[in-house]
Formats: sequence, C-alpha cells, structure tokens
Amino acid sequence: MMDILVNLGGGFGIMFTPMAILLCLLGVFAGVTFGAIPGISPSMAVALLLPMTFTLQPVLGMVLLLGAYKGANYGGSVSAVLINTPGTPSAAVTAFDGYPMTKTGRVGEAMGVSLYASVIGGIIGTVVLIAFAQPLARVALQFWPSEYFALTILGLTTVATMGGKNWQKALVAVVFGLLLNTIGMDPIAGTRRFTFGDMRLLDGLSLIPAIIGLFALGELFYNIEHYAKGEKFDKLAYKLPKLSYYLTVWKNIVRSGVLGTIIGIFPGAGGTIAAFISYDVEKRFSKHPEEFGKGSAEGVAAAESSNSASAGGALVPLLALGIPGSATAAVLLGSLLVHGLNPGPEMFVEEPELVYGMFASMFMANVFILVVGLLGANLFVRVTDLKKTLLYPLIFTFAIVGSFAVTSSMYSVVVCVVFGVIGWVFRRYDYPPAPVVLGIVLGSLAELSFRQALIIGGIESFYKRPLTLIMLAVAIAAVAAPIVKKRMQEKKLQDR
Amino acid sequence: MKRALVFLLFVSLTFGVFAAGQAEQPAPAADTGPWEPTRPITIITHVGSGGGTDVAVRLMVDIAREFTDATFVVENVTGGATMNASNAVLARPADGYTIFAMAMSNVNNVVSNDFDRSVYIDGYHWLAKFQKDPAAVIIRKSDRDAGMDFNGIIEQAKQMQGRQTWAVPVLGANKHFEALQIWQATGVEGTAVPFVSGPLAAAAVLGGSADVQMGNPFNAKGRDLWVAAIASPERMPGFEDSPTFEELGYPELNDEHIWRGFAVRQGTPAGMIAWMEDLLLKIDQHPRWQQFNADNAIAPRAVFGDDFRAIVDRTVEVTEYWLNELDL
Repeated sequence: MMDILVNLGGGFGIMFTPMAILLCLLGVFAGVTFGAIPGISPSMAVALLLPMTFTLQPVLGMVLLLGAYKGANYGGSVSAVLINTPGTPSAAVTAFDGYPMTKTGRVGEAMGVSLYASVIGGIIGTVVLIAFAQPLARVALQFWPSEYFALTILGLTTVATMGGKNWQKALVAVVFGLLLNTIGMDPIAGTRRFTFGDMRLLDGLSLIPAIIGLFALGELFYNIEHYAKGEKFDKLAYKLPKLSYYLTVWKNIVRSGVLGTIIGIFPGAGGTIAAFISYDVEKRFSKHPEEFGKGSAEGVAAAESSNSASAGGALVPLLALGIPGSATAAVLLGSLLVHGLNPGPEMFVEEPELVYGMFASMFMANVFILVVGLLGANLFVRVTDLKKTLLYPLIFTFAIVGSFAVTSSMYSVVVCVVFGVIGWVFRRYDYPPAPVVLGIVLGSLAELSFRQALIIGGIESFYKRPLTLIMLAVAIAAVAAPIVKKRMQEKKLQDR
Repeated sequence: MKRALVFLLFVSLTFGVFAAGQAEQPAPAADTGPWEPTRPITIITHVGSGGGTDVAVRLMVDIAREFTDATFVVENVTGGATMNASNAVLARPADGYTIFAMAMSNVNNVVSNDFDRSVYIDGYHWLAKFQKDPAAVIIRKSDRDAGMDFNGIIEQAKQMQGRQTWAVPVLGANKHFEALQIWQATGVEGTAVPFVSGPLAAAAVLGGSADVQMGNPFNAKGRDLWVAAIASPERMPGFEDSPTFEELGYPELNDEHIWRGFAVRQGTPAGMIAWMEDLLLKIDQHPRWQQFNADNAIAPRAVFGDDFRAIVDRTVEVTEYWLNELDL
C-alpha cells in the first residue's frame, strides 16, 4: 500500500505542471462537449483527440485522452436530461428519470444530481482501480462465457422492475430488442440472418442511431402530434440545488459507484449494463420505487454514478492485463501502442510514472468535470428555455447529424428515423422504450456467450460452475421476489 | 402554419445538406503524367476510430507530413461487415482523392458473402500492402513452465480428440483459417471458439476458458502468455524464445499472416499511384513507422501493385478453400 501511495505522489507530481493541467482541462472540456452531442460516443471523442497525442510524451497524451474519456461519459447525460437525447448508450438510463425531471420543471436538480453522481462515481472507480487493479483483473479473467451469459440474464431481469405495473408491455419491448439482435451475421456460423440481401445490415443494426431515434425522435414526434399552442415546460427551476441536497442520494451514488466499477472490470460488459443493473438495484432499495421512471433523483444518481465508475473499472483489465474492457479502453490501448508501450503487469513495474500519472490525472479530470459542469450547467439548462418551434427542429437536426456521425453513412440516418417512428408508436401506446435498449445491448452478448459456453463445456457449463449457478439463481430470485411478495400481500388481504 | 413551415424548412435543410454531401464529385482529371494533390485526400477505413487499421493509418498520415504538404483526411465508414467502407470508396470518382485503407477481412467478407468480385476485388487497383501480422500459436506462460510447447500442444490435441479449444476472434475468417491450416498440417483436430477480438481471445486463454490462442505475436506481449510457434522466416525480435514453424518442421506454415493495405478504384490516374507508392516507400522506411511496427510485432515491408494483387488472389483462394471445407 505504501508503494502505491509513493507512486501516486509521483503521479500527482507530474499532474501539477502547467502542461498536464492544461491538457487535462482541454480533454475534459472536449469530452463534455463531444459527449453531449448525440452520436459521439466516449470512444469516438477519445479517438478524435488521438492524433494530438502522437507527438506528446506518453503520459501527457494519456492525460488528454483520459480527460476526454471521463468528460464524454458525463457529457452524454447532458443531452439525455435536457432533451431526452442520450449522447451515449449508457446515458439512455439517465434519460429515464432525468428527462421527466426536466419536463416537470426540476431541470437544475436533474443536472446537479447527474453532475455530482458522475464525479463521485468517477472517483470511486478511480480509487478501486488504484487499490485493486491487479487482484480484480485476475478475478475478471475467471469470468468464463457461462458467467457472461448469467450476467446478461441478470441484466435482463431488470426489465421486471423497469416495467412496474406495465410489466407485460415491458416484456414485449425487451423481446423486441432481443429479436432485433438476430439481424446480421450469425456470430458463430457466420450465416446471414434477416438481412434481406442488404449488405448494410450484415453487422446488424447500429445501436446508437437506434437509441437516438427511439428516445429523441420518438418523443419529438409524439410532442409534435400533441403540440398545443402556447405549451411550455412546467416552470423551470434552473438553479442547481445546495450541497446538502445531494446527501439525500449519497447512498445511491456510493452503491451504484461500487457496482458500476465491478461490472466495468469484466471485458465486454461495459457501462451500459452497469447503468441498467445499478438502476434496477436502486429501485429495489428505494422507499419510493413508484417514482422511478417518472423523475426520480435516485434513478439519475444510480445511472450516472455507475456509468462513470465503470470507466475506472474498464481500465482495470486494460492496465493490469493489456485487455481493453470497453471500446474506449481499446482506443486508449491504441494510443499506448503508438508510443511503444504495452499495458500489462510489467507496465506497473517498468513505467510507474506513466501508470500513476494516469491515475492522478483521473482524479484531476473528475475535479475539472465538476468545474466545467458547474459553470456549464447554468448555460446548458437554457436549452429548455427555447421556444418549442425552434427546439424541436434543433433536436431533429442533432439526431440526424449525430446518427450520420456513427458510421458516416445515410444508413444510420435511416435506422434513426425508423426507430423514431417505432419510438413514437411505443410512446403512443404506452410501451416503455427503455427495455428495447436493454434487449439490444444485452442480446448479442447473451447469444454469443451462451453459444461459446455450449461449445466449450456443453450444457454442463451452466450448472457445474458455481459462479454461473449463483448468478442464475440471483436472476431467478430477482424476477420471482416481486411476484412472491405480491402473492403474499394478496393472501394476507384475503386472510383478513 | 408558420411553425409547420419552420419545421419543414429545418427537415429539408438537414436532408439537403446530407444529399449535397452524398452527391457525385466532379469528374476525374485527365491522366497527364506527374501528379500532385490539389485538394485533401480522403482515406476511408472500415474500422472505427481507434481500431488497429485506423491507428496505423493515422500514424502514417502524421509521418507523411514530413514528406508532403498534402492533406489527408481519415474517414471511418463502419458497418456492413466492412462493405459500407468499400461501397463508400467505389461510390466516389477514381480521381486519386479517395483511398481505401483495408484489411484481409475485407477480402474474406467479399468471398464468404459471395459478393460480386468483379466489383469488390477487380474494381480496385491494389496499391500497397503496408503491414503483415505473422500467425502465432499462443499458450499460457504457466503451461510453458510446466513443459508445454508446440509439440506438446499437438500431442494434447490428439489425446483430446477434437476437444482442445482454440480461441480465435471470429469463425470463418483469417485466424480461424490459420488454426485449420495448422490442424491440417499437423494431422490433429480442435474446436475453434470465437471471442470477438484478439485481446479477448488472449483473455480467454489467460482465464482458462480456451487452451490455445490463434493470434498475432503481439497478443502475447506484456501478458502471461507465450508464443509457442510463429510464422516468420527467422525468430522475431522480442520473441527470441519462440520457434518458427520451419524450425518445428512445418515450413508450409511459415508464411501464414494477416495483412493490411491500401487500394484505389480502378481507373485512378497512374501519376497518383506512382506518387502514393513513392510516399508509402518513404513512410515504410521512416524510423517512427518501423519502431511502431517493431513494438507491435508487425512486419512492415510495403508490397506494391502486382505483388500485392497476388497476395489478394491467394487470400481469395484460401478463403474459398476453407469455406468449402467447412461447408459454409
């Protein structure tokens, strides 16, 4: 532990130089800006800055990129909260409650919770990364395909709480999302499924344009349909709450931060699954679960904290094993490779200045996110002040441009518009769109890991590995518990 | 009414801007000898920002600044199993201002999906192969320390009668074919399991869910993994304790590799091709490029024109052969 502190001291020594501070601030600012633009994911934001690092010292290059990574993770929540347009897939979970808060006039509260949860979650992820990177990386390796499958099933059970009384509709929506995953090449046999001869569908549907369409355009079309002259948002409370307000959600932030970090360490799992599971856990813990989905500050805190913490988690396998845990971690790996650096256990010994400089920069990035967020929040919230006749076309333009940016092709734009119509239909008939995202995000991982497990160990994989069994049991309990609870309550009432 | 008009105006403007962007570019200039770019050259790649080919291309663009004032723009056109990028290149004029930065997987996909080869293979002038990743058989260091080597892997494969698991990124593509090639040469069978990417395949071997990784030497670097066999004419720097296939008695496996390269549309001015070949040759010999490749255990050595086309044809043959064998 002493070694870690000494090395961390050295890392902060590097960070407290004008160049490092400037680069970190620049990275955060660029990350928040890019992340807030729908379609620009954290990995794209980091990749856009990648060429700038070629001529920088490796540690300074990483300071810039990590600032952008963390900034983009937060930035994604800004558009999710304000205009129901998640800047990143994981921010879709933030939109569940963030946007309803905005619609009911609590925009300052939503922005404040998302900012502080993001910062604190980020710090939790960084602390865990520094203290436990090596042992946690070894744990991550013990996750076999059967465990990944069990994790996706656990993730899918969140639909049980997401739907609430509307659980049948939520189930339909999640199945719809899962079925959408069957479009494209079969991950094992390589055969084409439901592509109808269109080669643009070979890789399946683009996730980000689908989410933008489902949320932003779906809401937009619905609002246009129900547009009433002179209609405005409820009276908006722009001001961010006082610090004492955040104490009401501190438990949600801490729990989700820890959970987000843990899920983030498993390569391929990522922030989106972390956000869904944390949201579900917090809803179960909450004294007011009925408020989730309608504007719960706890929901925003859970989504943002876990998403931000998962960024630290994703760096665990990257730095300790050289295995990128997320798309953004893969770009960071690319940057290290350009400088001839190979992440892995040896890097902690051979390049302590780099590794601990990165750790220190992650702390600093969180501070800068707070600064940029506090200064920017008062400006960002004014978006909701725009007249709807101007706001709606702007949202439409952002959605189209953002979708195009994903694959640089009109195909993504078409996906976005089609999902916009689907989102509108969902909204009209009161089907929740969130489970569709859950189905799309988890579907491909579920299918691949299930079939990998079968190839490796046959059906025995699912009952001979204790961790798989435990996770599957928890998943079953997660679905059964509310049903049993309800039955017991009904029985009690009957007995009376 | 006024509001509806404003909305419609925005909608049409948004689509209008995109339509303008998609519109046909001006006709190519006549091929009149020496060529110098007069506007930015777009390099379209099929991988997302930060992917292997993308990073290599962006580094090349950075190095190119030392030799030319030309501006290069890297455009990532992803999706469609690499075909979106190919279509984007083919949709632009053959004027030398659009280059396709692609990999062996593009050719695999054309063959495996039975796409029109006269368009997607013959429609290109194969400008240069710029990187070559040698095939490597990778196991855990702990297994090596317990006495396992390439011959041990083969022996174990015989005993396990097809149940030995080999982690590859994707089935029906390069690394899977390399594994099949090795099994055929050594007379064993195994089970290939797809793990999406090289690093995730490495993680599978490290965690024990797969016995062997069919990867690139770089997949083992810095990790508790060891290259048990490598496809290289001689032992590679940084992998001195890893024998080549030739040393192990399998010379026919010694040229197994995956490649990355550049292509331009057929009909591109010969002057542009000569200009680009000259630039690539300079980049190929640049110390930064060589260091980057050495650090990543990649053999740079650019291969041009007909020689590159022969490599592409060989890729088509190998893909066809294995797809038929696998009945895919």
